[in-house]
Amino acid sequence: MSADTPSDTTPRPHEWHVLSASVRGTSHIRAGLPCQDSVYSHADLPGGALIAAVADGAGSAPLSDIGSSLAARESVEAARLSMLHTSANVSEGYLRATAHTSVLVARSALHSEARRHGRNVRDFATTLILVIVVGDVLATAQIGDGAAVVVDRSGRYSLLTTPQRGEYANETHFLTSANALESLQLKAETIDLSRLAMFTDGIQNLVLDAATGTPHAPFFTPLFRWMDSQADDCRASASLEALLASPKVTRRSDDDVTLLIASAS
Amino acid sequence: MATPESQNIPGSDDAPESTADFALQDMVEFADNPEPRCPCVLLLDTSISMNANDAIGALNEGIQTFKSELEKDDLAALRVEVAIITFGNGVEVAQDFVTVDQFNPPVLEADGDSTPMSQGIQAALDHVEGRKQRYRESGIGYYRPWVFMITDGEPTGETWDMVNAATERLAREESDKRVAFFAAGVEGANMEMLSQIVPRTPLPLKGLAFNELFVWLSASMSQVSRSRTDDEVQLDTDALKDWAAI
Repeated sequence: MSADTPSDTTPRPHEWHVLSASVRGTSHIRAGLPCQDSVYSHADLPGGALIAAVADGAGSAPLSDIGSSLAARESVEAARLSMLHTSANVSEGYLRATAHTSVLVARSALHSEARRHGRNVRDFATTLILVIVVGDVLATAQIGDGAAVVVDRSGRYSLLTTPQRGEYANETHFLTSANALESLQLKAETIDLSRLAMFTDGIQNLVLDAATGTPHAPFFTPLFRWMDSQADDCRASASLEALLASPKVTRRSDDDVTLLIASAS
Repeated sequence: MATPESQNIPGSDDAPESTADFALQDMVEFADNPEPRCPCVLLLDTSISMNANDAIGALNEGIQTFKSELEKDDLAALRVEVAIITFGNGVEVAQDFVTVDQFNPPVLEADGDSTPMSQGIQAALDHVEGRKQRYRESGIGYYRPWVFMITDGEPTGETWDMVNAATERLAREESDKRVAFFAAGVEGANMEMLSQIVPRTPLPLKGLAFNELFVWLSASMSQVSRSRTDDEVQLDTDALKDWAAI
């Protein structure tokens, strides 16, 4: 695996363990709406890259389940294509540009889909968070709410991006909005990454401390510990799904909920 | 290098094999953040004419219905905050913002000798602005506030300048999306003048269908309190017809 490592200073490629679950909110169940959240990832890439996306379709947009699914898949696939011919030793600038391009690809995929169906692209309205990790370089692109949390190897938590809101709690930005790219949060950094979590708005208020805007460690720490003890991904995903559908969550959020967690070894 | 990184995570020093036995739900602890709030001001005409056909009695019953309807919705009960401002005997805050569990609707009396509507509008907008300020200071998220005005008349006992100032402020705050302001006219209301004051088309109440109005208002607040969109909340026009003559 490290045969192509050019020098001693090159970070050891990660091997990723990824779990994710997406659960339909109780309000969607009541209204007969599908789950409009989507999650998509690749963790088995050459050079130990991880590419992951979560997307949250707007409840008011009739085809936002298709919108979120397309946005997540197309952005991850676009990033994957551009990573195929890349060494494990990429720069922050390169990865940031890749994240940026991948979001643009996803956005144009939504426009094509809308044209194909003769619909307004607003009908596919969705948020998007994309994270690309190669070695110790990480790039992230986000439009709208939800957030991504990272833990470095010293156990320090930080928020990669901030949930985007207007004045009101229910205002957000969508990939399909005319001015979407103005609200794009795009960044790249070098980080001694240990773990990553990405989630949609539905669970945001339950896993971030609103007053400080920081990740709620009593949620993430046991979750990542639990993840390390899981050998069977199928069973573990079912447990994660059960957690998101449990009354602890549904009592306080009736929206769709999506959570992806990744652990590097 | 060989050290498992889990040892560096705070709280990970227990024996790892014990964790698998616990249900995941018992292991994690969710953040206890305050719910985002959804403020709603009832701006009510308590001029003496509201005694005709005991409209005031029906209105009081309607407010009780509002409370009991909101209570049926767990999330709305946590998020919706109701305040009542009356205009009649001057302008009065009859109920400051409370969540539904603490809402004991006051019994309103129609004993006002005038209809100081524009002062009522100004007070409602001030009250909403003050509440937002409080939310921001406490780090509580909030939705776009609603003001719902009910009247059976037109502004009286105040100058045209006062009416114009309220009209202009309302137009500005609506277009800046600082508030969503709705108005319903009970029989006798000057609907033409109302529609000049209020940017959204005021709706004439069918008879004394206050119960239907407040069932609709509660359903609308439930919808707002869980909405997430960059658009306007779509009003349920079918249920609107239950109380509005449209």
